Amino acid sequence: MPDITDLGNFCLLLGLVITGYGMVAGPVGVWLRRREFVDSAERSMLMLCGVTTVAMLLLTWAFLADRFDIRYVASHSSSSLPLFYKLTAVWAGMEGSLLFWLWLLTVYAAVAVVLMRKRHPTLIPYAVSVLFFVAGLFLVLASSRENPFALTPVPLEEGRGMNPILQDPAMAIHPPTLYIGLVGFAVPFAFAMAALITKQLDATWIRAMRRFTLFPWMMLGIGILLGAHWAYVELGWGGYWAWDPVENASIMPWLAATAYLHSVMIQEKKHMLKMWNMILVVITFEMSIFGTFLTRSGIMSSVHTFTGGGLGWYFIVFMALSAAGAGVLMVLRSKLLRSEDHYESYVSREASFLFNNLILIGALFSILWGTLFPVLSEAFGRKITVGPPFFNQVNIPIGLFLLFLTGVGPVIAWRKATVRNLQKSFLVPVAVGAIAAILLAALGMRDGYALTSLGLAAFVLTTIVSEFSRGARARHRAHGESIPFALLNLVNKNRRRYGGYVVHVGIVLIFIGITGAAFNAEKEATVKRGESFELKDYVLTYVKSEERFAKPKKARREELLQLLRNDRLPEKMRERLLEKLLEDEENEHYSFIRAFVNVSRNGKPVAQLVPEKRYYFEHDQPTTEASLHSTLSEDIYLVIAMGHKDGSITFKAYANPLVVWIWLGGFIFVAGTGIALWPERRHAAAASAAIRYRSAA
Amino acid sequence: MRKKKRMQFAIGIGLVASLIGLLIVHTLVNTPEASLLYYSSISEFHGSLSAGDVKPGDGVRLNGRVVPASIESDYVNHRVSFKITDRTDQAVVVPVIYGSAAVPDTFKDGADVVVEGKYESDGVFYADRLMAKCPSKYEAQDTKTGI
Repeated sequence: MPDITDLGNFCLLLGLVITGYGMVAGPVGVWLRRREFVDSAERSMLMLCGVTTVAMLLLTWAFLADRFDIRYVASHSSSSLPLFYKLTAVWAGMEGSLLFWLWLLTVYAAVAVVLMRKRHPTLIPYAVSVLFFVAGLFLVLASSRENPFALTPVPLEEGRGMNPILQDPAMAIHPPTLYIGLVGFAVPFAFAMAALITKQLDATWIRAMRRFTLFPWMMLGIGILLGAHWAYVELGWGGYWAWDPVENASIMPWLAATAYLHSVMIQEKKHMLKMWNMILVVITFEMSIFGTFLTRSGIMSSVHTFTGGGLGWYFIVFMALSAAGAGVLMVLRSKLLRSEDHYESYVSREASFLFNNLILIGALFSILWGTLFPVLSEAFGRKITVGPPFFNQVNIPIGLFLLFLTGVGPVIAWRKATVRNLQKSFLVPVAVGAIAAILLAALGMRDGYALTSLGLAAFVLTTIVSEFSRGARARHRAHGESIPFALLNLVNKNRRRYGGYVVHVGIVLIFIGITGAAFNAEKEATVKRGESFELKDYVLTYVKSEERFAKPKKARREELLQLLRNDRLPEKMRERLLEKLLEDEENEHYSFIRAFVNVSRNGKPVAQLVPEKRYYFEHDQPTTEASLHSTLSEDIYLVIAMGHKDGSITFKAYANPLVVWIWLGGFIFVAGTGIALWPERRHAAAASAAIRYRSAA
Repeated sequence: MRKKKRMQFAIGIGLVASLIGLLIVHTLVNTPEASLLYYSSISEFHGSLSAGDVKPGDGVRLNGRVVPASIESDYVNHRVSFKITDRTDQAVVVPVIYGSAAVPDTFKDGADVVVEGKYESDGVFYADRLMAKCPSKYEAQDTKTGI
């Protein structure tokens, strides 16, 4: 009976063989005009997907079976780890997450093969070949230096367990979501390359890839927001974004994909920006690989990067090869990538989309520059790094300009907007934005950026609302539908456009939430029971505390097991002991101190916060459990910095205005993308196109 | 006409691109807290200090390891003082004062830390950012995203 590790290694090797064959079979089939080769390349992809699925299952099984003779399992699990975290441990570390990446890629590729083979038979042989090439990188890594099935030199009795910080339900969703996002961009990249090779450079490949881009883009967006939310709620430092290389690694491909999603509309409508779209799809893909690389290579001296050195070269070579290949193809096809139309005016939808793209790529570039700055500067002999102030100062103005364009782009006329046209679309929104800013200033808001941001938010929201109301009223007049019904139909009949607007609403809310950070406040205080401290206009009173000192778990376990071994133990007692043992599994991993703090404002009680400090024995590590009270206007966020022998506690409290709007915006962002992703019925699409052209004229 | 338009747009694109470039450079040059000198070891930092490459008051980022039993928390003034040294060579030690009592969970004796702040002429490193990583016991120390 072969062992898990043998089977796992066999799967990876088989995968390598399939990949080697699959990479060439498709193009060879086209070259020899032999359909069966192309068919077999397609089937090879399905087979690779099957093989990597088996490898994933084997690794999961190894975790469930506590196979501590496997290095990866031993360093990320222990026999007492709850079942749920044994499952999440599969992707908690380097080797497992590379396998997970590979598996997701093959699932995407298999889905693409199944959905696209009939509709785009000329693109598929090359697209599959490119996807095999990408899979090759991860297969080579997983089967050699980052082998998840590698054995420990000496079999271990017990694993080292999982870091308590990673033992959080968010870890079950957050990394996979990010991965599903990052990995997915390989498919549009592969089809773009296929379009270049086959010279099918009209909007066909872009239409075919719309959902294959939108879906990973949505997942990456969700992943970023989940990461921010998790950091905010769990890490206890009162913030959600620190411009850490790992965070930057996830936002960069998202920005590139956002630019791409906008500029393809110009190619579809106006046959412009063909070359630019190719460049964007390549940047998006390279950024998603770079993101994986940043977190995997140890190139950045970030506290969040893994410690594996040398791995970087695999990624650098891969990125150089794929970028060079794409570059050569683009140069060869440059004549076919020329625009079929041209810009007429700066005051047009084309121009505003173009500038939206420039801004997004500018933001990406500034983040990339900041992230790589230590590495770049070192090459020039001076070791300089940039911190959050750099990223904030550069990206706030960029973000505000982008927010402005969010309001302009979807509404402004194609080709060239007339003065009347501008008046009709923007008079009211500009007025609303200006009034909002003036009102806020009158209420005492003095921060220039915040006023601009909130004024622009009001401007953008008004443009969107007026778009919805204009469309609904048009339906009301044309079809005699009631206004709510007309609104519903409007969205339903043109999901792509109105889904996009809903996404914009979500993004505006996120901007509002981020703006709140301009007014963050914090306070540290050491107080005894019954004492209070103040933060802004809040009074926080430390009322009482609870403590639990759990015995170190292992000793406790030994004690109970000793008792159980006693033959003369009554059956009832045995049951109770077993129960106790199981209970301990869940409850006595840690000791804690918990404080009850009453928050009041102007003498009125607001909330009771219960922050906690835990101490995990197995890991010799404390964890901070923040307690927060969220309202639409402000979060009150409290952590215990330290409990003292004399009963006093040092608290750190934060007042973070508007943070909730970020998470609300996230939900709306997902809802909007969902609407845009939903399949549109053909006749509805034609009808809505007619309306669109009428309204644009 | 078409050519003229194309030219106009090329200028516009160039303008936006250079504005962003300017913004980056402007921030790097004019915001002292935006850029920091960084040192991956304490001995490297010390070498640079004696060579005069880094002056008191310069923004600095330092990688080091917390000297065991050197952590002292001051809950009256809300700051934590400790010493950091190199992972391998413990010859050079830098005293650090962090201006908050709320330290990261992974901050403890022997932890690898990154501190950001200013080294002042009194020989103390005043940190306003403190990041900590567990000793190599845990490979999966990626606290933010787990990737």
